Amino acid sequence: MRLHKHLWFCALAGLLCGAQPVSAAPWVRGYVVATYEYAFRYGGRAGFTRGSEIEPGVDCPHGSTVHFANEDETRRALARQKWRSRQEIDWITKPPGLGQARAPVLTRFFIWNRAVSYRGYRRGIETYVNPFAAEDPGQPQVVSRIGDGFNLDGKIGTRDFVSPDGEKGIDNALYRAWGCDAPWRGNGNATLDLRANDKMQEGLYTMVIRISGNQDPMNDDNATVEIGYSPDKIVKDARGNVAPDYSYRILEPAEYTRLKARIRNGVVQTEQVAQMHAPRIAWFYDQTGDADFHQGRIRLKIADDGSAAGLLGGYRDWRDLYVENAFAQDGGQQGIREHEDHVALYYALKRNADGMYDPRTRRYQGISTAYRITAMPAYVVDPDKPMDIPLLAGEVDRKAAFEAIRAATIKAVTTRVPQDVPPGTTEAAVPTLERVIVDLPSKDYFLKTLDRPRYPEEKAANDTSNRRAANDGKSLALAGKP
Amino acid sequence: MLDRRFLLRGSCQGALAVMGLPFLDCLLDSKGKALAASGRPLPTRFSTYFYGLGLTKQLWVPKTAGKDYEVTEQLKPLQPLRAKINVFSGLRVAVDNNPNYQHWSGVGASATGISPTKMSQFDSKTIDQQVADVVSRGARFKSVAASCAGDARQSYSSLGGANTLPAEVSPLSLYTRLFGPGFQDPSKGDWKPDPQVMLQQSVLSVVADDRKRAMQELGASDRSRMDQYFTSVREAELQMQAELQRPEIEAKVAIPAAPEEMACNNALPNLRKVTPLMSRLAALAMATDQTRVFHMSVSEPGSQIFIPGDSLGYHQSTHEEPIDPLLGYQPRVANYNVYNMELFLSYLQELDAIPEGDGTLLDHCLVYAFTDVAFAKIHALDGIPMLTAGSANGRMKTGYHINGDGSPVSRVGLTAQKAMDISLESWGSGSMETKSPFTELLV
Repeated sequence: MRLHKHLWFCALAGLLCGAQPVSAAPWVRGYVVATYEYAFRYGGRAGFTRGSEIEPGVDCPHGSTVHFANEDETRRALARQKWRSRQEIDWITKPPGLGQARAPVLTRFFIWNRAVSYRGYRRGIETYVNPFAAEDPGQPQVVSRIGDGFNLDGKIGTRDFVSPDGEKGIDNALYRAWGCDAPWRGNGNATLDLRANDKMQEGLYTMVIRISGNQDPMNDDNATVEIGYSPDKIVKDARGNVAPDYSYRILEPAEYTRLKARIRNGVVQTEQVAQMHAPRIAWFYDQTGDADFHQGRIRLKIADDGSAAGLLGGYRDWRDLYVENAFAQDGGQQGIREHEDHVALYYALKRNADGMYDPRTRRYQGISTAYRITAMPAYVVDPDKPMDIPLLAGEVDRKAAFEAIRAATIKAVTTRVPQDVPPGTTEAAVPTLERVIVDLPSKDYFLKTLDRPRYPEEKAANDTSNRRAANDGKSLALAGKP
Repeated sequence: MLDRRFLLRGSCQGALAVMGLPFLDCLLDSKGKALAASGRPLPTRFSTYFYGLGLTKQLWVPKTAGKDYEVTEQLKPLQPLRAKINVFSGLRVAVDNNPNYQHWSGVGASATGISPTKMSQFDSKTIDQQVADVVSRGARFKSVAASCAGDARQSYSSLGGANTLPAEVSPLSLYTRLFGPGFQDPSKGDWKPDPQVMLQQSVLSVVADDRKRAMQELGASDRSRMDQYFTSVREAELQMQAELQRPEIEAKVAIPAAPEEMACNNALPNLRKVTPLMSRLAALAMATDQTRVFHMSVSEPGSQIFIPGDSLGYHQSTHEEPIDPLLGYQPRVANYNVYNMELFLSYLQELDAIPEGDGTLLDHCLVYAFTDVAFAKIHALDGIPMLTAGSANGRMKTGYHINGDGSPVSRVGLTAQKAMDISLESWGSGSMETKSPFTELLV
């Protein structure tokens, strides 16, 4: 129905266009975002393979991160805690009797998860909520000089990147800090890029862009760009691609920004605004929300086929970025599976922060970023009546747990006073490890030795944790029903 | 011809009493086969089969659709039974406004046609139970579930909600349930109704009188609960009733001795030993009409199958193994995909090894195989593969590759139920509600 309505509108607009000079006609173009990724530039050779490893390249000469990728890496991470005994490190690394467990891979995974979640200067401090309390394990950083993004501060600094088309002064410190992390590095096939895009396209959230003006869609000095959230799920075609020309509503109460823009030969450049709101990159519902860009701007290139591609950029609070990634599931799980170490990432983000200076703390709270998007043509329309971003009823408790751990983490890294893990999360594999480890002969040692969060509301936490652990799918049979 | 079912039942002081009959010659045909005597067609059996972690699209999906499709690398293991299998690709699960439960939404949707609203729970009876409601009357067990990996919770057969039907966890436990106490070989001449079952059934019938009284005194919600409870009781009654009659079978089978206790877990070498054994027992159970509906699983969603010495195993590999830039897929994961197909073949081969009527047991079955995801690395729900096997007593064409072109998985479920001769207009809900079976497969 909506499609028909807007086809009618377009036909009418076409008639109007025919009656007036093209250069003075009001015009509107809409887009639904099809892919949305951090603008990290892969520096390896395309098509190179070495036993399915991602190649070291000019971006990351030592290759992608390998945190917790094997027993040696995990042992190295655990050995930094002086309070651990040799036996503890040995047993965690190679749990005795593992071969007798029904699911040895899963059992070791959750032992490691719990162990790496406690790497503080003393026992009992959960690491991912309190990364400052752990020793910096070191983060391989991008060393390439070429990077995508914007010159956000108007300066050309010694640490700035040069864009592929030669623009100097590109600020994308997030790329430097994070671009070598394994799940984000690849030549179009980085794990979490693929996953986040897939979930967006499956309906987790929808981002739309509407561009309008009064001159020519390809050349307009006084255009307007709107970016925001749509409650309408992305429509895909029979081949699984994002289908063009469907209608999407754009909501204005949140995750929405209107920017002035100038268009030259199909290249849309917006003004830089103090705050630019848009949906976040997410692959779980609890991560979804507002990406609050400071000094934000957008650049898009309109292609002949009607699609668009370009960049969003601005400074983002690096603590938000840390939380959004670390607690997608839980820090240990994200780390071991994806070979990211969020302690290393915490220090790298802090070290590379280059914006949003806070005179009170005398620190930079922001880090320059760029996000890469591709978009398909669509009809972007206002809702019939104002509406809020809808909540997903089945995920409300999970979202609440995410916000609680976000608050605890930001308080911890701001005050540097260790905070407890709020209930309702799966941090430190609670209570999944207890369920998985039942048939391991050495289980008593691990349950006695390894720290874990303790909750007064243990039951409530368990209920939610079961759902989240099972949601990950690693432990359906062991962590809950069935 | 006498109706044995009628003659075996009677009443005693208001309670149902069941009496055995001598094994009369007039009940048998010249070969001694009750089914031939009754002239009723062979029952169509239904089986679901679950395996975890999807496929590698580039290696699994045939390039062309139809009957002459070229067998792909990952489908090669199924080549021996290609003519009896249908391959479905390009199917989709739509979660609508429900949470996208990684590894679960695909299971729930494939098994019920409904995007699940709760983790690890089904929003209706699973397809095997929906079919069992129609086809299982008269069988000793309404349905049976088995987990080759040895975990009773690895069952994707459910009455809805959290009412999962637990799986038998070893060949021995499956054997004991099927052919242990209470089992009488229907192919033997000394078959007679079990007096204990007769007694139990009489007791249940007495309870039935009381339940009518109790129901009248209950409120609506309690009545509904009691209804649910007594439905189970009724099913138990029917099962007992079935046990008091010699199953009518056509297959030429011999029940083997009980298997030894053996290790049942996620280790691939064990699965390679256990799966054929469990499959053989499943086949015997269906051939001897102990059950007409069987659910088999070889793993949980997010399969924990591993090869000893591989520290990552299947599931962890799907996440950790990079996509080979040249190949475009994950080589180690691709191997595990193939192991899944090999295990599936071992199930089908056991069904196909039992001669029955003018074909094999598999020809009189419809096997409905499903998984949790498409591309496991990202938990994709787009491009989910499915398989069916067997021609459902000639009601389903086989040997085809069907490209779903983004159709909901529920189309396969609807097609399967149509082939099982179940009367329904549509299946599934929300975006997955469909009235369009793959008609090209239905005879």
